[in-house]
Amino acid sequence: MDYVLETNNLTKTYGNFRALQGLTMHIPQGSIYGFVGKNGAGKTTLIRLICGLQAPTGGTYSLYGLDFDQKEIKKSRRRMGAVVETPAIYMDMTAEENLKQQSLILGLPSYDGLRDILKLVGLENTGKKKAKNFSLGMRQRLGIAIALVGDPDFLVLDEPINGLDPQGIIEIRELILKLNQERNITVLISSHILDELSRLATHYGILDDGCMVKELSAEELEAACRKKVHITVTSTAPLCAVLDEMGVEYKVVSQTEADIFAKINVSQLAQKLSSYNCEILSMQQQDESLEGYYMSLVGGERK
Amino acid sequence: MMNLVRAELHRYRRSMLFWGAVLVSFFAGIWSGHVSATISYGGNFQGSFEAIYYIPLFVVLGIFTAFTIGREYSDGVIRNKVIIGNTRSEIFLSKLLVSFLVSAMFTTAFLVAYLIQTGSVMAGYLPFSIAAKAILSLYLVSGVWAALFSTVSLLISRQEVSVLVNLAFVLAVFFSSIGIGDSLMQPAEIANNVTVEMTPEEVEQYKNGEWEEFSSLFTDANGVTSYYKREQQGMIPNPNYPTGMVREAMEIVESALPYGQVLLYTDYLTACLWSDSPESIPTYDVQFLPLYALAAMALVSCAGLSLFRKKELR
Repeated sequence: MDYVLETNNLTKTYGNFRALQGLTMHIPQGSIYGFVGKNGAGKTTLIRLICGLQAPTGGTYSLYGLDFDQKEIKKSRRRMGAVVETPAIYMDMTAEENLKQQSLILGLPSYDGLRDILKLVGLENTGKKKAKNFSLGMRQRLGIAIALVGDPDFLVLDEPINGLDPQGIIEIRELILKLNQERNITVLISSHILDELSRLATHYGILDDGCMVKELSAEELEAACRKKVHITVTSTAPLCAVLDEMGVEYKVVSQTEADIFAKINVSQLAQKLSSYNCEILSMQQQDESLEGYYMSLVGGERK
Repeated sequence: MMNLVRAELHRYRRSMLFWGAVLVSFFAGIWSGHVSATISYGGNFQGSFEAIYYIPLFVVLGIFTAFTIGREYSDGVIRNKVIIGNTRSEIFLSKLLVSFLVSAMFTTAFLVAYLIQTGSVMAGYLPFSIAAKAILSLYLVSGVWAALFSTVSLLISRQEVSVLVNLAFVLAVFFSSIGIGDSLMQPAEIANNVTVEMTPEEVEQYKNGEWEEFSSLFTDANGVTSYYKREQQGMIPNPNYPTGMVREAMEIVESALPYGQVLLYTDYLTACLWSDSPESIPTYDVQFLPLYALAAMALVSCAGLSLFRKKELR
């Protein structure tokens, strides 16, 4: 698998405070990578490092296979666009002027395609309105538009839906999906709003206290978040026999515990188990969402 | 790097702040020129190129540089330039180059207005070669200020703080240059004034109210009054006159400081203006001033670049 970004034991300290501690992650090409973590987990710090705004204290990262300390990394950065914290826009310019300015900075030969970008982000009708008079959602979209001027294939968005109203959130979500699906742009999106990420991401990186707790794909996450009944019995051997007889999907967790992935008749189960002299000690229904899974991870051991 | 320079100059074409600053420089030139051309000493017009009249130009440059670079920090635009692959060196040097060009434009606006005001009144008294060198020097000095202001503004992200620091530099360098200039202009020897007792004839003059010079009286316990006058007895070395290595160092610092150069040239031009003939124009050692200005520009730029390369951007 080709990776757009790989980090290896990345560390960043500010004085005595360790913002990142040995972070290792991999962003596959063509994915929408949801970077999840609470406030202060280190999401923005990582983004600042990979964008070249700050230097790591330890560890390495590579963009398109080029290490960060190589001179040629400049070429990799040209393939990248980013909106870090707040959109980088000239407030005293219109949307089109901002894109023209970015075009000049990149040294592009003409302004062709800029109107298409404005149309893509829904800002084609802003006319002479200056960016300082834009709503927050419009500024976010303009920030993304500016990041798209150089025709990047890797887009980094740092909490792009913060402060947006529901309409704004939907617009940004649809835009990200469009960019990924129509233009095959790899997207790294950091957020602490899990529900929104779950509608977008194809891969997840869960961060806590500067460490990567877990990386997994959307399919793996779905498998981990299935509805189940966690049952504790005196012995799982008779339980397995009963469940096989009932034709129910299950997974043995230990000699006394198992997860049952179906709706079961509790009375029937208890009756059948009693014929094997097997007692049910406890039963819990678990209806895990990404939120629940995240809480179970960051509250538990690190991997 | 040239992409960055082109983009910035393109932005200034429509920037109200930029054209406003050009206009303010022009009006600063009108005011400064008017004062220079109409100043009188002892009721007689003489004109003067006093260094203080150039302060508004440097204040405009300092505030403009701090505002524009500070705004780029607050808008996140400097961050964006790093993200798309520009190195810190490219960003710093492009800002420096643009600052030099901007300082040249402000200086031109100032000079055009200044020369219109002063040229018709004072031009006839000034040798063209000296005036031309003074104008070149002003451009170089503005370049030194541009290097300093852009370095400060790039190292200090907060707009308000960099404005204050830039203004503080203008005032600090101005007063330092004045202080150093005054010290260097001290005479090597001063009159040795001593207090001696008046002669009887002089006492008589004093009592008749005819004594106009310094005098003092002392009456002792017995009621006897003694009369004293101040008398010069030769010359003594001036204790405030810097000599040797201290003097050389002060001369170098004066030449290197941007305001020091302005002071030297304004004194030179004013001396020309007040001379009765070309032969009586005093000699000022200004031949190395352009080199000092270029060296100061290089020093400030190199120091700024090395610091900016280590600056962490948020």
